[in-house]
Amino acid sequence: MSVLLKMKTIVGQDPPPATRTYWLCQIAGWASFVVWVTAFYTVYEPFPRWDVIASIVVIDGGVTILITHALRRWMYRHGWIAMRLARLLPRLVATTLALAAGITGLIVLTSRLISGGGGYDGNAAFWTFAAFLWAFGGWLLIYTTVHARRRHDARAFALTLNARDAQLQLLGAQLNPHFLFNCLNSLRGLISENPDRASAMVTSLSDLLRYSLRSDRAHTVPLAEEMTIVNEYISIERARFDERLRFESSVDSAVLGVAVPPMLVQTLVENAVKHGIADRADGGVVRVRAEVSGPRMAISVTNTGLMRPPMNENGHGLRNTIERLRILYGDEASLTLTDASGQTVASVTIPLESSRERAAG
Amino acid sequence: MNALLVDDERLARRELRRLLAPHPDVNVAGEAVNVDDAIARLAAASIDVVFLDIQMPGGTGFDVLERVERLPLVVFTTAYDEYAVRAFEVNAFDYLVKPIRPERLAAALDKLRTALADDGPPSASAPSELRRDGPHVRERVFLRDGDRCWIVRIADIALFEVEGNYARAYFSGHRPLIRSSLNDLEARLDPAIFFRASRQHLINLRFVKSVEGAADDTYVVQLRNGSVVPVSRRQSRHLRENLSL
Repeated sequence: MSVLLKMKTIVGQDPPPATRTYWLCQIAGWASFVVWVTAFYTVYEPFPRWDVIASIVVIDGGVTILITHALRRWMYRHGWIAMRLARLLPRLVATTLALAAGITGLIVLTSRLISGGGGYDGNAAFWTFAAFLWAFGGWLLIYTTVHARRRHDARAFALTLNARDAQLQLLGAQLNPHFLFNCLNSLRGLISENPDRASAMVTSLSDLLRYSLRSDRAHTVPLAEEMTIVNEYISIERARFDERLRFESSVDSAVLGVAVPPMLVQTLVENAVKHGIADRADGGVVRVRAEVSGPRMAISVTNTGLMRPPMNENGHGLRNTIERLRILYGDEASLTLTDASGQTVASVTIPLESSRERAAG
Repeated sequence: MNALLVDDERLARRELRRLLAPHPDVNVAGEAVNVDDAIARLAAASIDVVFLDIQMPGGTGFDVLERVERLPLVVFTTAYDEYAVRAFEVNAFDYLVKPIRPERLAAALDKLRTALADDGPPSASAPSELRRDGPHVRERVFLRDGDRCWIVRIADIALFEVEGNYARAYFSGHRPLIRSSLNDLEARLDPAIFFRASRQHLINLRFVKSVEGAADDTYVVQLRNGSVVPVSRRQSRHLRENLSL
């Protein structure tokens, strides 16, 4: 985001401080131009003069650097940096012509001063002009190309950052709307039957909703916080499924502080309730375990019943979870679904170390 | 009217009962908590309307409809968006989204009363339209093709056509493939209405627009939906008797 802002402020502003690379290119470029012109002069001039060579060094190497450095400043102040090619190109051509003509005039004058007039004929002036056309044209071409490339990279980087944020936000597991409406419906039934329980359910639902909305923003939360919400969720589902839902959780106190993506365990538990309880007439058990396993934390959510091909929305939730883990941890985290002996197990591993760093950062 | 409430959540059933209480003509004849339960209760009692949840343990509301003999009027109650349900189902009597608004329920009940009065009790209809215990032509059947489902009045189906081991039904622009053989359908439907034109076709005689003679003493029947069905030689004789040509 900040990268984008910086790019916008470029227009009509002073140029950023010149980098070491910029100066190295300036010096190397114009030094090689000086070498080239000097070689040209000494080859074609039967009796080369030291004062002429000195003037070549000063003008072709020194004045040019001053001019182009000033030109850089001009380009920033007049917004040439962000200009489209169609508008920029005529300006570049005009600038090249003007600068080449100007410096040729300067050289003709200097040579008259040095050799007391007549040292420079029209032919020499033309070739000098041609050489500076190449030099300034080349400078502008290289400068604008490198700059355009850098701007492109900066924008691409900003987009990647944005896309990652947007992606995480999009993937931030929302509550399943189907659950939400069923829940509101049960709640209405509960209001007349048991007002105290209904009121507790409103509180739990509010906490759950707030937490799921927050999950769009926070990248990670401590596992303890996530488990609080899982318990709120379970208390809501108990009201809906009565004795059909049995829930057990065992979380090692050593992992309570480990940072996890919000709604990670919640999504898996919701999935387990859906398949292990809601789809089964006799209901079943949902179990959550979390413990340290080597350099990682292992979380497993088990439900009664074999895995079935995921139905639209739930399959979506799991895919989202896998995608979020991939964005946050790369290959260091994993989520697998397996079924054995009448049970479905969702297992997640998250690196202990890097999740702590992420929470700190 | 006799209503069956089908929902796996106790609180949801309780809530629907509470909403129906102000309507004394609605008799809640029973509640069912899952697919098998619902099928059993629909078979046991004469139910006029079923309030059916879509997501249930052991299947969906559609599985219930697919397996019942006699289809009552169906009102889906769903926590989904109504349009999400309409996307894979055509022609349910009504859709109520949960939590249900009392006035929306009242409107649905008004519509139900009208429809039940129009249909009349099954016993009042002409006996000629019945075959053994087969469905009444004014009754509806539930058809399913992949993800799409239809609740359609038998009388509105113009034609069944063989396709492999299954049959394709033609009605009001739809043509789903259904998992019944043509022989099966012929046995279940009223022969005064549905006529086996050939090995391939079972046609609704009420849809016949014209009958033309063809080679070898056979006929070609044109139906109002645009289908043209050739009648086999053996069946042409039956058709002649049937229509007294």
